[in-house]
Order: sequence, then C-alpha cells, then structure tokens
Amino acid sequence: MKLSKIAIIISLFFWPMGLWLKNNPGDFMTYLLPAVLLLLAYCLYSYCRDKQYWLIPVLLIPYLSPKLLLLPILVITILLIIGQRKIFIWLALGISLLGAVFLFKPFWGQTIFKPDYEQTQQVIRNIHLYPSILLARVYQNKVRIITDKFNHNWVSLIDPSNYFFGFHPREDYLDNQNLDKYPYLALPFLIYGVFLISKHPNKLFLMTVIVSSILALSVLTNFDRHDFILYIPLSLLTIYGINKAKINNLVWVGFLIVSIEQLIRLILIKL
Amino acid sequence: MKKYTRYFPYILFILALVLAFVTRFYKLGKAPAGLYLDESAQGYNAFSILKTGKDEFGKSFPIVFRSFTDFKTPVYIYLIVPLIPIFGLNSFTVRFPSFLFSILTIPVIYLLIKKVSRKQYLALIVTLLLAISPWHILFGRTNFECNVALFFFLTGLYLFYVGLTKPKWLIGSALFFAIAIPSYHSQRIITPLTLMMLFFRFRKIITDKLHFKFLAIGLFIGLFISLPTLSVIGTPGFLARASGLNIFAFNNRPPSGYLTNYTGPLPWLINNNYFLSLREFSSLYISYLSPINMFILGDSGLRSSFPNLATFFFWQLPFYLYGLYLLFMKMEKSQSELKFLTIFLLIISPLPAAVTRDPYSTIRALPLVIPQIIIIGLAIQKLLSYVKNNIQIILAAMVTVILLVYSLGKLYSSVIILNEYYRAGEWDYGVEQVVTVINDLHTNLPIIFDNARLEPYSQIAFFEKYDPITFQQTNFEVTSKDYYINMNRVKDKKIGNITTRTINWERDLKVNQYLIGDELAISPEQIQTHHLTLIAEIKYPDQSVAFRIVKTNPQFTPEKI
Repeated sequence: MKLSKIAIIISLFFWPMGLWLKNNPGDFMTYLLPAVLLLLAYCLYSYCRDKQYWLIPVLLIPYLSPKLLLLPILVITILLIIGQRKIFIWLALGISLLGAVFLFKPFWGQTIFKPDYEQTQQVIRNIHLYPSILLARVYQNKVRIITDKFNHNWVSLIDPSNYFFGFHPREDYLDNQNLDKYPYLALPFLIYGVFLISKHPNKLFLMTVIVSSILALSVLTNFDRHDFILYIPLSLLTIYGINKAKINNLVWVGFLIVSIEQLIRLILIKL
Repeated sequence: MKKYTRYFPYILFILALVLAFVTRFYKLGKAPAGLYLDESAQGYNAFSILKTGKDEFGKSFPIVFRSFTDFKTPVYIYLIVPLIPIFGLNSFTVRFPSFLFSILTIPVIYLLIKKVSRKQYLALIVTLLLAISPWHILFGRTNFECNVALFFFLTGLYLFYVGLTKPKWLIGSALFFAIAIPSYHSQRIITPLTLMMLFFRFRKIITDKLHFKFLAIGLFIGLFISLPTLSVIGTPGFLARASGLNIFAFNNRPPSGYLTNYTGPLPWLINNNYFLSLREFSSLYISYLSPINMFILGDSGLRSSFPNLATFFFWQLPFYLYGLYLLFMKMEKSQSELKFLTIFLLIISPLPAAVTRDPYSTIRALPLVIPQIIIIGLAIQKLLSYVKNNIQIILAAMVTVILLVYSLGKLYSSVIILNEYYRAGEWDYGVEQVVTVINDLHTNLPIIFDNARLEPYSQIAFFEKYDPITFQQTNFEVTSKDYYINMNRVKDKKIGNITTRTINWERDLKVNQYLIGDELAISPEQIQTHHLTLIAEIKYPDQSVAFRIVKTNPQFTPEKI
C-alpha cells in the first residue's frame, strides 16, 4: 500500500474518533447521521449527477439535526442562483421550506438571533461614551451583536486552527470540545485541495455543500460538534490535496510518525 | 481629465501620508492615557544617559538595557535621548520615536513595493493600507521598539534592491540592516534570515566586479556596527528574553498538552516534549496566518490591541482571501520578485513570535503586517483593474471613500474612546496623578508606594524627573562587571522620600507616613479599621479606583494588630 494512502486513512480517523471519544453514543449519533446522509448524497452525486437525487438525503438532514435546518434551503438556493432551475429543485425547495415550518421552533432558540441581554447592556453602556450620537449608532448598535456573532462564526469555520489545532492557542471558545479534527501536518494538503477545488470532478457538490454548511452553522450560537457536517467535504478536499501532491516517501514517513503519535495520544488520553 | 489623472498618484501618496500622520499624531502621548512601566523605564534610562552617560544602574552606555532584567534593546532608548532636551521628559517624548519611524515607514513601503513590483498603483494601495492599518498604528502611537526596527529592516531591504542596479547603495542597505538587528528582539532572527535569502537569490549579481567592492564595505560597516551586540551575545542578559519566553525551554515550562498527572500506558509517548513542542510551535505559527486572529480577535494582550478592533479591518477579509488566491495561483510572471518577497516575508515573519508562548503576539510579529497588507493590496488592485468606464470609476471612488471614512471612525472609536475608558489600567494610568498629589503635599514624611502587583519605581522616577546620579547611588543592584550576567533583582527602590515596596501593615502603621496602593492594597475597610486618613483617591476613567493615598495615624494604632 502506498504511504500516501496510509496517510489518508490516518487523517480520516481523527475527527470521528475524537467526536466519539468525547461524547456519549446517543449524542455522537446525532452528529454522525447528518454526515452519513451527506456521504450518501455525495455518492448519489458522483454516480448520477445529471439527476438531482443527491438532494434527497440533504433534505432529510434537518429531521436528524434541527440545528441544520438551513442547510438544505441554502444548498437549493445556491443551485437556483447558479442557474439549475429544474422542476425537481423547485420541488425540493418547497419541501425544505415546508419542513422548516415544523422545525422552526427548536431551531430558533439555538440561533444568534435569540436576544442577548448581556451584549445589549454592553452596547447601551458603550453608546454613552461617544461624543456624538451618529458615531455611537454606527459603531455601537444592537444589529452589530448579531452580525458580530455571525462573522465570528463563519470566520472560525474557515480558520485552520479550528480543524487542526482545536483552536489552540486561543482556546477561549465557550463550550467547545477543542478537537484535533485532522492531523496538523495534513493542513498543507487541505489548503492545496482548496486551491485546486476548481479542478475537482465534483466541485459543484463540494462548493455548494461547504458554502451552505458554513452559512448554516454560522447562525448558531454554538456550532461545535454540529460542524461535523463539514467532515465529508473537507475530507474529500484533503484526500484530493494528498493525491495531487507530489511528495517523496521520506516526507510521508515523517507525516505518518507525527500523525500516528498524535492519534495514539488522542485515543489513550480519552480512554 | 488626463491632466488631472497625471497628479492622481501624488494625491494618493499625500493622502496616505496625511492619514498616517493624523492617525498616529492625534493625542500622541495622551492616548493611551497612562504610561506603562516599560515606557517610563525607557524614558528614565534615556534621561539618565543624557544626564550622566550611564543608565539607572550606573552602567556607561549599555549595549542592552538591564531595566527589569528583561534587557531592553538599546536603539529606541538612545533615540529618546536627543528628544528630551527638545520636548522634555514626558509621555509624548517617549512615544515620539515610534510615531516618527512609523511615519517614515510609509514612504519606504511605497518605494519598496514600487521597486519590486514596478506597479505604482499597487505601491500606492499598499501604502494607503499601511497608513490606516490598526496593527501599524498601535505601535506607532505607543512606545514599542518593533516599529522602529521595522523601519530599519524595510529601508535595508529597499536599499538592497536599489543596490542591485546602483551598487553603492549596498553600503546603506548594510547599515540599516545592522541597526535593525539590535533594534528589536525578533529582528535578531528575521534580519539574518533575510540577508541569507538575499545573498543566495542575488549572489551572482552582488558578487560580480561592479558590486563586490561595495558589498565588502557594507559587510565591514555592518560587522562594525554589530560588534557591541556580538560582544554580549552569549551573556544571560542578552539571551534573557529568548530563554524566558521560548517554548522549547522545557525547564521553564512543559509544552502545551503535557499531562502531569498522566498514569496510563506509553507515558514517554504521551508526554513527549518533542512531539508536543512541534505541535505547539505549529499551532502558534498558524495562529499568525489565521483569519480569526487577523480579522476578528486580534492580539489577546490588552496593551497590544485596541477594544473592538483586530489587527486588520473586517472589510479587508474578502480581499485577503482573494489576494491569497492571486498570490499563489494567478500572479503575473513580471511580478515574480514581488511574489517571492511576499511569500518569503509571510513565511519568516511569524517565526520569532511562534517560538514564544504568547498566542498571536502582534508585537513580535509586526513585520508580518507587510506581506499581509501586500496580499490585501493585490486583491484591491486586481479588482480596480476591472474599473473602466466613468460610472464604475465613480462607484469605486465612492466605495473607497466610504471604507476610508468607516475605517477612520472605527479607529477613533476603538483607539480614543473605548481604549481610554476600558484599558486605562493596563497602561498604568494613575501613577502620574499620584506623583502630582505627592508633590502637592510638600512633605518630608516617608511615603511607601506598594509594589506587590505593580512596579511603579520607573514611573515615579520618570514623572519626578528624579536626579539620575542620586538614583544610581541609592539603588545599587549590580556592579558594571556583572551587569549582563547577574540576573538577581532588587525590587524595592528609593526615590527621595518615596520607597517602593510591599506594605507591611504591622510595622508601617506605627510610623507617621503616607501609604499608596491600589484598590486591593488599601481598601475602604482597611482605612476604617486602621484609622487611616484618606488623602486622595485616583480613579480610572470608568470611575473605579486606581490608587488610594492615605496617611497613617500611629496615635490610634494599638501595640499589636
């Protein structure tokens, strides 16, 4: 077996393993099943991309994890924006919107739109410091509470520290499990995969799902663990990056030594 | 129209200079309102050098300044010396070199980018971005050596590129690089690495007949300037910062992730210092390239950041991402030198900071602002290249003006309003006011300034403009011979009738004297219990207590407390 293949297998172990070890089985399934559905969607997309059957598993995701309510809506919206306006997609939009009506209540309470008393008080305190009301309104207003949280979330979700270092050295995220989601030496391969995404055979699926997932997770007060939905597209990009990288065996040996140590550490500490 | 567009680059350049000046000079010395102990220590040592030719410990013209045994780099302190007769010994003076060299960096970056890219508008965009950069502004308004070092480094770099075509400038380049090294700790790594890169990249040019003579002279001058630094390079003093903060110094502190209570299998693997340090270094290194740190969180140090403001404006994030794509995937061949230099600086700039344990330390990684601003500039320049017709020009101008106005407002909001209100304590606000109150007392009674949590002696000496000769005589710490070697400190100091030491309630209440301390040292309950007379209360802008000055009343104090 090629060393690069072993590197792929090792890399893919981290996130599910870490999530499984840090959560009870019931919770773990809540995070795992949406990812499984997305994997199914990817398989359907790969084998019959002319049809839109891959949207069916995506439509089911909110029923397993209501926090991801926006995911199918965003996926379909992106498809419509880029010009895929087949009847099946409109139908899927209708179904996802209908589902949203039923799932809206549990979803809303978990979002950044929920009033934040402490932040509101802070804004009011800050407003009094400004010499002009215009300046105060521009830089201290209640809308910013939501936009700041949204921006914080989506930038965190595109940040390598989230996936490779569990946010170290800034582990000041509330209620975050700080998982090492991939071996940190795999970082260059993911970046390489991202840079080559336009050449990936399933680029439409990857880009649509990544953008939709990031946006859907960004409206949550806490996206930790639910970001496991990104495991499929990010792993596909990492695999793509590893496969495209032309690296000699010595480097792979170094990669494997460090990554296996990291994986063993991950397992032994949690056991 | 053409007549006006000819002047457009000049207008942009002047705009960048004006913006740089305004954002750095407005309330310089007044905001931040306090004077941090490192700033006052630098100022007082400069004052001491001016008056006696010796630092506070009586060492003649030190190569690195002992100070709090953190051994401060010398260039900044020597730059303050000639300013004291002009502006006096005050906050403005100690922050002025940062301001001046921050402004001087603006034309240097313009010339450097123009020289390397041969694109005037890209150079102007980068210059404009640096002029309003929160990262660069912070260190241009406060006493931090890193900004001065960045100027010398960039000037050395620019003169090197000039020297490729006009060899005599290689001498100037060597001179500036040589000054950059002792200017700030991180330059001890960045400058030599850059010199190595430049040598290998341009070895054929600089070793040819035309260049060699000037290269040799430059090397000689550079070596001559570096001699004092080289003479102390192995001393504990010179290495104090590196050994104290280094993540690879396992004796000081185990690496991140080390489990002291681990009793499971394979402990040699679980707590392997090398694996753990490699991960820690990688995470620290990546934190400097991390969008969340750059655009949302900023530096966690309360003196090396402003409230609600990261190191870059949030609106610059899309440009940064697009710029990265352009840099690595779509750079024109004619821009290969700019591409190489940007990537090189991007790679080496975080290195000195990444070997120290603080997360995202913007002081140590300041040179990183240059490649990251270039990346943002690349994206903006590319997008502006699509602007063709008049409507698009008007739209682009409107967006630019809106972004500039918004950014300036944001700077005012964070730097002047929020920072002053919330972070006055971080800048040791209050000591100057305490000194004023003490002087107004006109007393010969002893004054005890509690130093349990603070180290106010340098600030007291600074604001009192205390005679350096008397200070040196009454506060002996080391001989000149042991100056760079002996790392032991004498924390308690005497400045006239003021002594800085921890308050000893049992003894101090029995003496008729003044006590000064913060909210924790002297609480309202203690004032009541010990029958102290409250002389003054110095408050932070948020109205919380910074310091209390009280007078003891021994006649009310029982024999035993």
